[in-house]
Amino acid sequence: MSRLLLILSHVPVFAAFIYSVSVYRNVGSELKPLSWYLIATGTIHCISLALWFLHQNNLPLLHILVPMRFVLLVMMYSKILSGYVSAGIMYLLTGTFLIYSLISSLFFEQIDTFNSNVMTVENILLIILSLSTYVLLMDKRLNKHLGKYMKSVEWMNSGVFLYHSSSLILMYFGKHIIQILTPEFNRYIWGIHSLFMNVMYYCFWRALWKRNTT
Amino acid sequence: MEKEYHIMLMETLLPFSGIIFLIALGVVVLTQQFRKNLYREQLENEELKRFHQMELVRSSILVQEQERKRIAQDIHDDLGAVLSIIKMHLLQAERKYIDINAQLPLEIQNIRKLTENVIENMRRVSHELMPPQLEKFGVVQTLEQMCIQLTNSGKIKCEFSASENMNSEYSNDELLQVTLYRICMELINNTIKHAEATFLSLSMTFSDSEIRVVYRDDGKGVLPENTTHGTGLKNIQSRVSLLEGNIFLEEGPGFSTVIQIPFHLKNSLLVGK
Repeated sequence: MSRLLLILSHVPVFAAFIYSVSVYRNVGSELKPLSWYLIATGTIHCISLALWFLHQNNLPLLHILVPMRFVLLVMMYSKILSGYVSAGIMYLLTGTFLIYSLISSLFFEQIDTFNSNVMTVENILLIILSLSTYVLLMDKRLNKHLGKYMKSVEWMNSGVFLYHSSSLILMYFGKHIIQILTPEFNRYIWGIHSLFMNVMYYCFWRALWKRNTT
Repeated sequence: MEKEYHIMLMETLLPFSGIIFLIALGVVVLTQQFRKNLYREQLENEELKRFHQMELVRSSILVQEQERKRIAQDIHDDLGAVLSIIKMHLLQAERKYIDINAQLPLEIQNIRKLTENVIENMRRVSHELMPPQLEKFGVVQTLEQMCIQLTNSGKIKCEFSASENMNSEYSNDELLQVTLYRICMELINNTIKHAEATFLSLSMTFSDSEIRVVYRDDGKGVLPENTTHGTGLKNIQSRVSLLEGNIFLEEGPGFSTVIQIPFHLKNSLLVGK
């Protein structure tokens, strides 16, 4: 049963991956980082699933996935917010996060364990970016700046906000109260996490889809 | 139990509040930066819009002046030449009649007088469109001459003064000369037509940093509502803004205005030429 659920939870990820590959050439430069994100994370999820089936520890992949997806999402936000936030801030944010995640993986959270600290910081930073982008999207002047990508950006931003805010709560409280929970309850938490991840991938797929129809 | 509760509070809720505070702080800081950049972008757009409007006014005034100059030249050179030839033929015809001691037909005399009137009017129109002395001697001498003619006509007493140290950059700028001339002529025309004044004074000061025109008359002045609706004043304002200058209407008896045209901005006008 859990095997079936795990496969099903990966369906939206792979669907978004396939769609992203199929439309890659038609995607404008503004949405290219989103395509890279879907292709890269789709590949990592695929390897992770294969490792799970082979009964191998797939957590080292998480130490690659988290900094990689952070870099790609910040690249996406840099494109959206160009002219409104200094590129230097984005470079500084990315560089600092990469160094932090490397140090954390090498010295604090072993490569074969869960990197909850890095994920918490990633979630905090991405929530800040997505909330600020919501504020900016409310300004009508941005319509001119984003043009036909406005709807795609809204979908992408919603996906980031929904997943990373729920992930922050789950990661944070999961770390502190995991000891007092039953394994069954723990599975529910991961089930909810998968649900939000699927919601994010659905939003990302919609973002790419809207690029076609707007 | 209470101890566990305190540990739970210290370990879980307080750091979580800190995280929420961090997120809120981050959002506030980023939003502030967005607002600042949006405001900067808006200012840049407004500046660009203003620049385009200025360009439009400048080019329309330039075209207007070029067209005036062309019409004035056509009237003077073509129409004027033809009318002068007609007048010459009429004079020759008159001489012929005198030679043969015949009585000069009244019609020919009338035609010659009418032709002379037309030539006179044509010259006046041509000079009004583009005074030839403006190109030859510049705005200061043209206005000085105009003032002398006005005083001599007996309609109004006109006083004119200008500073001696006129920069060569000013005198070489044709658009500046024509624009200053049109502004002053518009002011003088307004005084003659509407002010019922007996005296007007015009002074022009050229310094390294600005041109200052002070115009005064002892007429009935301008009502506040007319300062926004009058075509004459609008024309003056658009010409002053073309030179990126300022116009100040002063309160008091009669009409009094001060026009300031900064020198450093005049350079940008020359670049745009």
